[in-house]
Amino acid sequence: MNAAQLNQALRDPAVRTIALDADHRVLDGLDLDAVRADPKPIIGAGATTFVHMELWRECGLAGYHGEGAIPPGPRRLTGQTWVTGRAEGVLLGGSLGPLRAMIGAGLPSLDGAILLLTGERTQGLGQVDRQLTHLIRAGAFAGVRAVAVGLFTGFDGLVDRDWTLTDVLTDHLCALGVPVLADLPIGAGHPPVPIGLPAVLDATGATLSID
Amino acid sequence: MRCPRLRPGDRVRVLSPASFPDQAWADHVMDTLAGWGLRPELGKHALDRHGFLAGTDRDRLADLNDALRDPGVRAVVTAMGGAGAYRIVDGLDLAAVRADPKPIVGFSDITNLHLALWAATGLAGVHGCVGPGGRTDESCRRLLFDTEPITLHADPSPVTVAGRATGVLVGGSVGAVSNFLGAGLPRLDGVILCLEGPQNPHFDRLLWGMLRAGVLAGIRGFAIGDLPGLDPDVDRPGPDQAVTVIRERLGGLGVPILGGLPFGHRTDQICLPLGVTATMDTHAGTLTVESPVY
Repeated sequence: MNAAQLNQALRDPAVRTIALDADHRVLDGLDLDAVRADPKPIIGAGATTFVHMELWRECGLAGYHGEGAIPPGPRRLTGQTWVTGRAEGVLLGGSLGPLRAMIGAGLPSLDGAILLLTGERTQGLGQVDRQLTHLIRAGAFAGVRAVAVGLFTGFDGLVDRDWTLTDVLTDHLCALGVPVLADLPIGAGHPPVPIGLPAVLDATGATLSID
Repeated sequence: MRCPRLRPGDRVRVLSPASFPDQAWADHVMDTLAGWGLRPELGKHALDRHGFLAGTDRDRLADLNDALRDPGVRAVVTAMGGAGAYRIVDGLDLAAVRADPKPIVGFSDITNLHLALWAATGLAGVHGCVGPGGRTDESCRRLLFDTEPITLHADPSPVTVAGRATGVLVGGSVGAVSNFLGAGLPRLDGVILCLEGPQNPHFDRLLWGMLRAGVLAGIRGFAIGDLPGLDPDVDRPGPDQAVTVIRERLGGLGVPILGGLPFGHRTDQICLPLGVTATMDTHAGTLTVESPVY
């Protein structure tokens, strides 16, 4: 979807949700007045994180990270404990590459948030390492209360000089001093979870709960 | 901030601030430097292995700061790029660099070190490497020993925008430049930005981010080296190809762009001074850069 098509959907009062596959190219020129006048959730994964973060920052709009229909009722997802602990906060974030690309260019504050991280392989492990290092060096994770690690696609079987994706992720995320819950079924090809709404991450109990 | 030039007999340190070379390549780099009349020393951790890194962050940083602090070490030559230099840029001993500037030779991931040191201290350096032979080694040797400017000649390029500009030459790897956005990259006022890099599917979003962040305000021009997707034979380049991205994102900024310069990820690149004044002239097809040493 390009910017004109997205704005058309945002302005159409009959459209109640938008399933979106878009990237940074739609951000400059978004009809923010239409979003504020008639907020409607945008569902998408991957580069759609650009749109989720922009509309959260500009309009406080909640969205959905994932694909397909929004499941009814509260959600309770099970993952794998990397760092124990429990935290409450608004679930924010999404795909690692877009989050990194918005540093200095409109990434909203993640202070007080439960950070969601998913990813898609475009290059090797060094790319993930660069992205996480950049976010941490820029202070983008300051105030993050917990980390919810979803799916990173394309990394199965990848071993680079003895390291796997898990080595790179744990190296950074387990040093943040907050609870970390990994292997959550969140990302492309999985049912959407809300971005911008309160959640409880209980890494000790290995659950992420969203009302 | 230019550095004192090298003289025969000077000690130089060979380091791996990012990924590790194999022993044979490290030996070859050392032999090349010895052939220039220098006394090369291999850093304590230069051959360490820790995942894709040449040892832990602590050890790579210790090697680097040790070389920066040693008054007898007159240059730092990196043996490899790869990944990981960005992890140690916040621990560099800037006081040692200011007190005793010495050139660092490297490119690709080592661009992270050049940028961090230029942003903090204005240190000049050498974008390139030692070891491939030919004009790469010859230009590197010349930039370290001689105080004369160097001129690079550009091939015709589909991204060139006519004009002439003078500014401080900064940059290198596109990916490394973007690592500093919102994380220490100053506004590039008065700068000629040089860009190169291996295949990068996110080239467009990197330039988008730099424009959105406003860091390109006041830029004087762009010097473009090797980037995949600049092939002039392509009739209809796709939206993510470098030729399209550069034309659409940078072509309308009102400053000259000189493409087709022989630096970057190629076997015969010419080494390029960084952090010193450069003049680009698209009519002559040249980029002339002051020496990083005095």
